[in-house]
Amino acid sequence: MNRIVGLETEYGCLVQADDRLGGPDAYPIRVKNHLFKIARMGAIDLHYRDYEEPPGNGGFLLNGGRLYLDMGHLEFSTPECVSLRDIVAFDRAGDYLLHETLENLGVADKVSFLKNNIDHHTGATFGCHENYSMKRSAQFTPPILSALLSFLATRQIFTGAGRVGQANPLAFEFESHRGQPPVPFQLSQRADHIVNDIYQWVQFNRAIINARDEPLADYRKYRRLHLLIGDSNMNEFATALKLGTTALILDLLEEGILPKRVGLLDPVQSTREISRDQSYRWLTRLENGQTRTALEIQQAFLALARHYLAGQSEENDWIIREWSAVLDGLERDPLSQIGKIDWVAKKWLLQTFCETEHLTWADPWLQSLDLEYHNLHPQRGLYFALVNEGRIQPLVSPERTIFCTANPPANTRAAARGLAVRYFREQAANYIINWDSVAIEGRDPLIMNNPFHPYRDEITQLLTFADDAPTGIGG
Amino acid sequence: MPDRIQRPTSPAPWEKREVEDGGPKRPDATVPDTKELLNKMRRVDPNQAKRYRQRTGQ
Repeated sequence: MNRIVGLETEYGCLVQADDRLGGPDAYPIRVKNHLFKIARMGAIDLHYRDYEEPPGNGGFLLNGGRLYLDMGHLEFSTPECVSLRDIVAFDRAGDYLLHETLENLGVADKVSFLKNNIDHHTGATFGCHENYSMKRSAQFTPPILSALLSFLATRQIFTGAGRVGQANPLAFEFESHRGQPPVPFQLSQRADHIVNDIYQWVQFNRAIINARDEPLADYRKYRRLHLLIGDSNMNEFATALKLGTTALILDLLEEGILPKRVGLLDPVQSTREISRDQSYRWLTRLENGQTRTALEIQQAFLALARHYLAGQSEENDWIIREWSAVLDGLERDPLSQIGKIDWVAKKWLLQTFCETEHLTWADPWLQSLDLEYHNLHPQRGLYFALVNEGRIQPLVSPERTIFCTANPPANTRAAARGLAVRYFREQAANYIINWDSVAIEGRDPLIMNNPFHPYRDEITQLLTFADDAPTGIGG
Repeated sequence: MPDRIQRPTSPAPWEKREVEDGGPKRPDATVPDTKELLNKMRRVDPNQAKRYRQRTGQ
């Protein structure tokens, strides 16, 4: 990819009924403390990062990513990545770290982390935010924003994680579908919770695109596009396609290359309508008064990507080939994509169960099975059951997943951050680590405002431990 | 329901390429039936969704 990409995943916590040691609020704290204090997988924050993030609330990890408590949820942010190979592996490494810590604490039989975005009973939602670096020179003109919103509203046909039922998007309105017909199953977990196209807040009035201008890098050169709309994907292929296609679209938009007739009349309404459409026709209304299906809009973006971006890199070509195959498969028969798309796999599981057990879609058991698809316990989670049966092929090997828990990407500034974490883990020092800087008491801080630069020499000089440097320095 | 293992239509950039000429080919294994999967689903506590009450996040 031509840009830095990162994922921030908030995990849910499911505690069995007979547990008396603490509820879903207690275990994220225990896991965070174990990871930093016992497993020593990172360097915990010694300072306030925000009024909501006091010292000890979280910290950076050996892999250059970040783990912290956010609004009661344990959240893992991947390190900065520039390849699909890396971002998919580091995302999976975060899942692994959390579940393995429950195993190490001896509670994995009664506590699970779920990589999903909703509960079915309080209207809560929690995110899987995407970050993409962009050129500062790229302007978000109305035509570019309109095209981007159209792409994001329609990509859920292959990025959606699926959910049983629906939520009321208005905060504190817990009645799930007052005045609306019930929805048995929909494509996206987040669609019901997105109420704006562009806005700056992240907890209420969530938007498809977050408008916060916080590049965490040289603001003269970079923007950071922050997206709230995406679901947490269990399927690694879906994660790769979600991030890969979005990165390609940004390549086009940065050059002012836009498809024609894709601007949606109301991207928020279309997001919800596509997600809830039981017919899978996915019809949208355009600004010009015409209608077009989500598949047709995605095909229009794909055609431009193929024309302008094919042949530039092996990765680009993989994204374009797989994107094309998935759109064709969805048009032919959505069920044909069971190994690639989360919502399809979940829908098939639940439909098969309903038919075997003679249940209706209103049966509350289906909500529990919906959750179990996202259970990170490899012997319990239904996603992993599909993997174990060979119906889904993971892209990341177990060995690489484990490697990525403790080693940063080599080709971004996360490499320097990982070395700093390794150093501060061993040395008694007052430090401050941020996404774009590392500071140690008594020395000038290292500013890392180019996220594409690994800063190995600079961090080594700052820490002055070149003589007995750990493996990886200069490598 | 498709009855074959699904994998990306083309090798991912991070995937080791199989040798095209000679050597063993990947077996075209069929997917097992759904019996074990359904048994696993039956063991899921029907009430766990009621207990899964999360704080709203971002």
